[in-house]
Amino acid sequence: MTAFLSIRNLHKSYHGNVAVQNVSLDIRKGEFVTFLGPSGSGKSTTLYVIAGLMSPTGGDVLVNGRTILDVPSNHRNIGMVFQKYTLFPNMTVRENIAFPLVVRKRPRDEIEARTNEMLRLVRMEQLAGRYPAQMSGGQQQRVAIARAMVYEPEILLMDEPLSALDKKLREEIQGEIKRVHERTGVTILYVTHDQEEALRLSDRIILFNTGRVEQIGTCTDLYTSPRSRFAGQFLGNSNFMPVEIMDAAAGTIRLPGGACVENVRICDSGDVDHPLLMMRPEDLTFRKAGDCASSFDGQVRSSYFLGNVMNYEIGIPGDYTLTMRVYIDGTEHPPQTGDRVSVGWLPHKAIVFR
Amino acid sequence: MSIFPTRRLRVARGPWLESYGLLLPGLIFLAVFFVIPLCLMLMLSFTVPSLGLEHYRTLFFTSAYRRIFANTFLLATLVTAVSLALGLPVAWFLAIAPRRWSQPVQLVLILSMWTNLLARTYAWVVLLQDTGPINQTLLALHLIAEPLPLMNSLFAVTVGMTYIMLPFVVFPLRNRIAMLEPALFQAATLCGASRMTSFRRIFLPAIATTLGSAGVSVFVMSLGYYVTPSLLGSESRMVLAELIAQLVQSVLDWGLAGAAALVLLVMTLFLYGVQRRLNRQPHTTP
Amino acid sequence: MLLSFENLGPWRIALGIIAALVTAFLVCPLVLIVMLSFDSSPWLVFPPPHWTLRWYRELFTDPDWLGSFMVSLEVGLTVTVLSVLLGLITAIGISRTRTAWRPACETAFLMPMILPVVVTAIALYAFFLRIHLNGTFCGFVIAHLILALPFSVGAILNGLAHIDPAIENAAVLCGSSRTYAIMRITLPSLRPALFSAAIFSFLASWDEVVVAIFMASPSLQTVPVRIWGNLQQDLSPVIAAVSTVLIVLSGLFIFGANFMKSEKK
Repeated sequence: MTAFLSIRNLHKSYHGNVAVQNVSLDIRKGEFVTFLGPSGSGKSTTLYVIAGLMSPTGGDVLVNGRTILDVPSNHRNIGMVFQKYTLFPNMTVRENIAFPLVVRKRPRDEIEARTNEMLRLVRMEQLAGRYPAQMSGGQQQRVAIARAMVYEPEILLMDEPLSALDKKLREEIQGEIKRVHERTGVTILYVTHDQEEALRLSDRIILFNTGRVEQIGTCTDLYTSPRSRFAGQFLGNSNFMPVEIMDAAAGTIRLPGGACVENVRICDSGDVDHPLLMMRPEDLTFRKAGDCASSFDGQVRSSYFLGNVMNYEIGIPGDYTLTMRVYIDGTEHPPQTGDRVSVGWLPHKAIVFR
Repeated sequence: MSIFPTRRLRVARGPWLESYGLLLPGLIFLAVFFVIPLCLMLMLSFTVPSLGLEHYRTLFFTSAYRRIFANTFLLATLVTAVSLALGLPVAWFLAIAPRRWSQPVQLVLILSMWTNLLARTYAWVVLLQDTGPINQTLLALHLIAEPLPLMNSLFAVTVGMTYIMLPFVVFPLRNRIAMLEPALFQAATLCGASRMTSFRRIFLPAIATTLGSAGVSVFVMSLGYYVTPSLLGSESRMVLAELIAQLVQSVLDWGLAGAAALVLLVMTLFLYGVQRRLNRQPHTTP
Repeated sequence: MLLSFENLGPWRIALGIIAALVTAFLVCPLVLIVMLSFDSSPWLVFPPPHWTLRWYRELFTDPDWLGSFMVSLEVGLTVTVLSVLLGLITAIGISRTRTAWRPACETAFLMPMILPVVVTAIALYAFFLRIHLNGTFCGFVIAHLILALPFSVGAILNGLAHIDPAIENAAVLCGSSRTYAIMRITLPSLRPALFSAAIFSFLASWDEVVVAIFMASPSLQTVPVRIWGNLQQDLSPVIAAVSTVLIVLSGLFIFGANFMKSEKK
């Protein structure tokens, strides 16, 4: 596979603060890739370097094998949608969308046709004559997407475009973005700190942490096989517990209570001092007491109903709390707060980071 | 952090010209026609007629000049106190009164602020003179037997300058009060606080820095004011700005004038620093 | 309940009375001037025995006063144009300066507004005497430009602060050059700020007395200088007429500015 967009050993620091260090990644043409990470993790900086709005202190950005660092932003043929609303306040929706074609001095009828096409694409035909100040945030961002797509850029960058919108509107425009991606086949790099948004939209997720790439993979990869404690914690909820590794080859560990369990996946993460066992809440189930080694005896501390699942907080010996999520099918009687329960878990689904 | 793209392969001259280069014309203009004149004045104060600190000694140790300093501070203090005392209620009124009442008051404030300074001062000269409307009315009502000597007094200057300074107190305070959170005072009332307690314990502390900053800026402006004191004030109560102008215009004593101007300049800068610090302080309540 | 006018109780009356008194204090002098300018008595008798337009006739037929109006206007307009241009370049320069230098830069350009005008006036006077700019049109413009520039820089910086640099960046990413983006996107959004920079600059020159007193020559006197000269001699009602004209002009200015504002919405 030849990469369409490659980033090689990218490094960026300003005023002595390192924002991005040694980031390398390859992106295929037409892929929808999300840069996911907490704020300050370097994801936006990487995006700005690709856009040419920041220059890196080291490394290279290549498109089709050629560096684009010496190409000024306005000649990179990259579209970008910003976190803030950046429609030109002195122009109508139509003029905003036409702007990139006007500065490219395209013929008038082409501008007209493309602009109409884009208005249709983001379903804003009715508001074409409005000014940005007369529109809602969601409408503005839709126009911003149209403006960034009108000149058929090869890459579309999106820097947390929906973070200022409420949940319902955000989901609606996520659908819109997905549709634009499917219809046009543009390569999209999408920055967000919202894991749900990342899972919903992307083909692949690039997980950032403290200026580095923590893990790259599909959504399921990242969820089922996190390669570090950070990855396990950032995507979805997890239970963590210190353990002792008895036999790394066989995956044998010893739990705090003293019981030994075999067949656990062991992962060299390099980001924990002592081995840590990670279990997803939905991988835990209620069992009969003392069923097998891979279970904990405990007491229900609290529970709440989430619609189709119950969320339990279980206190177990050693002062640990396990969070578990159980589907309710209505046939059994679910445990109540204060009940003594036994919680089982599946060693092959759990991971130990060391 | 620069948000402007620097082209990696070129020398960084472009961005430099695009930022610092733009400052050059302004900086040169300021240097030639502001900094050099001030330095010239500073130099004159040390060298005319002969090299030395003679003028500063005269300023600080002659009783006549010391009295001028005292007059200047007295006037500035009075103007500041009266402006704050009148400005706070007006600002408060503007911030909370219904629009149909606050709008006319605001319009009058803006109109008077934008009216030519001399026109405003002229009005007070006419109003306060012996044959002016105030004295005429009082005489006609037989409240006084002889015209009150209102003009050319500390009273006249204070009135005239308060008139000019009021907007500088009212507008910042109004903006601050408008920013206060009403729920804070509702909570205070529910906690059992009376209006007076709310006023003293919540309202005043919340606007304290703005009050202080407005006060300092009025004080600074009053210290160096020339027009109003020289038209409404008396010779015997001369202030620093009048002294400076007179030394240059009538006595041609550039050295002493320069020294006095420098003292005024240093005081102004010091107070400006204080005001900046007040403004930077975080407000104690939302 | 201190922020609710209805629940202010007895305090409401106190506030209302003080506001009314202060408003009267602010309005009376203005009203008085306007009335006196139509007063038939040259001794400023109040209330006026008869109404007359005599003082306006005197004002508008006096070549000295008319000349002063022209001088004020010429100086003011020249200062306005230069101040807005220089202020625009400077403000953009400041907004692009590295953060550590920015406060120093801003303070430097605000200094002429902070210092007492007397100090600036005599410093400029001393300097201009030596380079023979005193009493010249050029000297007048330079002196007033020094005083007007802080207002202009301040107003435009304020305008720039409300413009998101991301918008200009968006234009560049759309394919426009930086210069085109500034001309087409940033400057149009800056129009209100430029407008207030122009108004403030003009007024800084039009109303300025102290520096003007030092700069003026018998043949080159702005309106404030001529009023000042007249005030030293007598309180002729012609001054009331001039003042009324100035008050009306200010009123028109405010009206115009408000109109522009509501037009924008």
